[in-house]
Amino acid sequence: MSQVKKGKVVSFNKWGYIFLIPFFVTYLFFQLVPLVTTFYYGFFEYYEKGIKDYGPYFYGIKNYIALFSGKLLLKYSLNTLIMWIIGFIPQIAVSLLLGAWFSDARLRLKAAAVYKVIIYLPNLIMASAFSMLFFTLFDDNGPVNGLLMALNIVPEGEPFRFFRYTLSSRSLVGFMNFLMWFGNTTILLMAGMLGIDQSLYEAAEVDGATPTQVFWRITLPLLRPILVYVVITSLIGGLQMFDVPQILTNGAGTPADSTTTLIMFLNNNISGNVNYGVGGALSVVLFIITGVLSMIVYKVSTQKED
Amino acid sequence: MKKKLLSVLLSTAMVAALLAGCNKKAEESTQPSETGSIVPGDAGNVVDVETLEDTGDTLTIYVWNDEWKDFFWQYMPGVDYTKVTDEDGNEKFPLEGKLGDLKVVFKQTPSTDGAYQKSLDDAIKNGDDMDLFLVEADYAKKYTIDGVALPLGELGITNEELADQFAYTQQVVTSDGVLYGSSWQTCGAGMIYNREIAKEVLGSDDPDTVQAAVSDWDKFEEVAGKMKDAGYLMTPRASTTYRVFSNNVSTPWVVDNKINLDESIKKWIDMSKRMVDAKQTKTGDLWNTEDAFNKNTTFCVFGPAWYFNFCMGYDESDDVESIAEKGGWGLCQGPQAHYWGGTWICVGANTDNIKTCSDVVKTMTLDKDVLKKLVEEQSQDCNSKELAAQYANDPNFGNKILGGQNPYAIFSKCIDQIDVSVMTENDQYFNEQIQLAMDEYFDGKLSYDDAYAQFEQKVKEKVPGLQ
Repeated sequence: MSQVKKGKVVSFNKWGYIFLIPFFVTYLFFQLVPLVTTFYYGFFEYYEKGIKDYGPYFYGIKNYIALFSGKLLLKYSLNTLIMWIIGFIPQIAVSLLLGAWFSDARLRLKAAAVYKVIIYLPNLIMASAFSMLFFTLFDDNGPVNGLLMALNIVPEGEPFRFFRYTLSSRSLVGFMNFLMWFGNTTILLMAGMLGIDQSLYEAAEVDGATPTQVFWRITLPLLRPILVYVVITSLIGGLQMFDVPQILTNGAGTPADSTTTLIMFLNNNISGNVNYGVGGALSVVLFIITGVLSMIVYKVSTQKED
Repeated sequence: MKKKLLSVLLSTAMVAALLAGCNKKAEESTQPSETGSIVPGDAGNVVDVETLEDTGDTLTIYVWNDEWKDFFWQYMPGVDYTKVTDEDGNEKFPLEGKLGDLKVVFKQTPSTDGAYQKSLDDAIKNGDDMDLFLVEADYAKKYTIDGVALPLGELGITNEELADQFAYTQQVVTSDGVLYGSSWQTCGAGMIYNREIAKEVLGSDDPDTVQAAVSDWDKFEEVAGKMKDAGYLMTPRASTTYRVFSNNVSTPWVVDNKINLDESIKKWIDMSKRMVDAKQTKTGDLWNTEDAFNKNTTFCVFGPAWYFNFCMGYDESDDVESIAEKGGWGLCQGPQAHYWGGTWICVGANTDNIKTCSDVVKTMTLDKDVLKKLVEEQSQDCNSKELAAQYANDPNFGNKILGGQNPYAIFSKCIDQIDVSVMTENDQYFNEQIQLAMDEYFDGKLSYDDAYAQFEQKVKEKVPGLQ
């Protein structure tokens, strides 16, 4: 009897595996193979020369030595980090506030669902399209400068050149990332806040706590795991920052290379004549950083269960 | 049992569907007719046109902008297409249509940042269908080689047919003494100046008077000072003059695998810095200068014939009346002779429609009637010595944009002075990056040394292996 049962279990498993095949085949060819070759070519001197290839010649860790001894990796990491911070600070602040409002049953917000949809909307626009929009808006001859001139904030015929100043260029990138992601973060934080036991709030109310005290003493501490998750995933997303600054600066990272991100650096090495060696090495470095950050997320999210 | 059968069926169907994607199109590997070794010469070994045959059903053409695509639909006999409406509601020529029984597909990739070259590289490496492709002077050397493009002789084009083309246009696409491409245009360029401003500041808008005033770069800067005093910009952008200097280099960008900055480029950098500091010109994107074309703000730009219709806003459908529409421009040679760009048509080495390709190249670059239309309707400067001489001496032939002035004499004189011997296959990256980096120097964002270091670094990323 038990043997029959066992047999059934096995045969069900078989179907399970068969239905997993598409994922694994796709993963194998489109993820794992490129991943392994990327690691592999990181150790080679291998690039395009015209329409022919030079190499691959084994190069040891010279690609890595060149990356770490040059100033660019550090410079572009800092660029990426700064632009991420410019976007992330308002993002987390606004999201916390909105999350607190949306999850607070006592506020009795009307049409909360509509607002949730609206704040999420910017995320649905393609980043490149969004970036193109800002490029046009803040152009020397664009509507923003037109407005500034009409209001006599800048003199007629001398537009404020947003893309010529480090601060304004970086701020625009940060601002766009903020606009695109605060809705998503709000939804995440709200989910975390709704998971907090309502009786705690009621107890605080009975004890006469002000809303500010409730937020700082109850919501925030209990939200910590999800907050860490949001920070780290956003940081991982920030590391991959590419389309917004790429399109905003036409791939040049202007002014003075101050908006070139790590992925744009990677892109510079694989557009034009592709440099598989340096590109591979750089990808591996990014892979390791992202991997470490992901491990932290994993640690934090499993700790919660203890 | 039934359930089991169903699941077997479903999973087989799924796996089969998955594998179907792997079935690579491998059957089409038709070779173009064998011609034997190519004798060093112009067109190479010429085959009989009658022996050429089409085997494919799609004519795939790689382009980076609309220019030639629009000419193709307008002047290639036997085309069939429907215009499409773009997001602004303007009618445009489509990317797809028909030529006889063949389906025509334009694959368009912008050339910025080497993206167009990348699309060509991928197509060549993957063996994708690429019947015709266009190249620019900046990277023509990279693609006009054996195994990538077909020698014109293999298309049945004879040296006699090509004899009327200007030499420099052939020099650009010649490799090992054989021609791999053909162009309908020459791109001799000149200084295009605003007539009203010339009258006001220089006292006359006569081309000879203006030419005398700007006959060398010192005088050019002197005039720039006068323009500034009168409230005008000399040029819309610092990079406006770049091509004039970069065409007059005497050394290539790469010498012994090292980056080499020619004296002429250095001169451009110094002059531009002075002009930007004196507010005689501006920094920024060269392609975004409508102000200069629509209002009397700027004295001059530099450009070839294609610049007239393609950039200067000669567009009657537009609601702004540009200076070009009023015929308010004049043309003189400027401080130095130069050319700018040029587009060559090449036939992909593994084309499956060699007969049609041969037809297109002949019709669009060698047919005198088509060339005439390109000159008269599209302000092109055609690649035919005979027609050029005819137009240069025709008192009735004038260009509307230039207020009726005949540009041919000036352009033809330019073409004779063009020397393309120091081109490299990576010129596009050098030209793009030096302008980008130096723009930041002109702006005061970077010191000269930092700007130059940035240029070197970016170029090395684009062209690995440079010292």
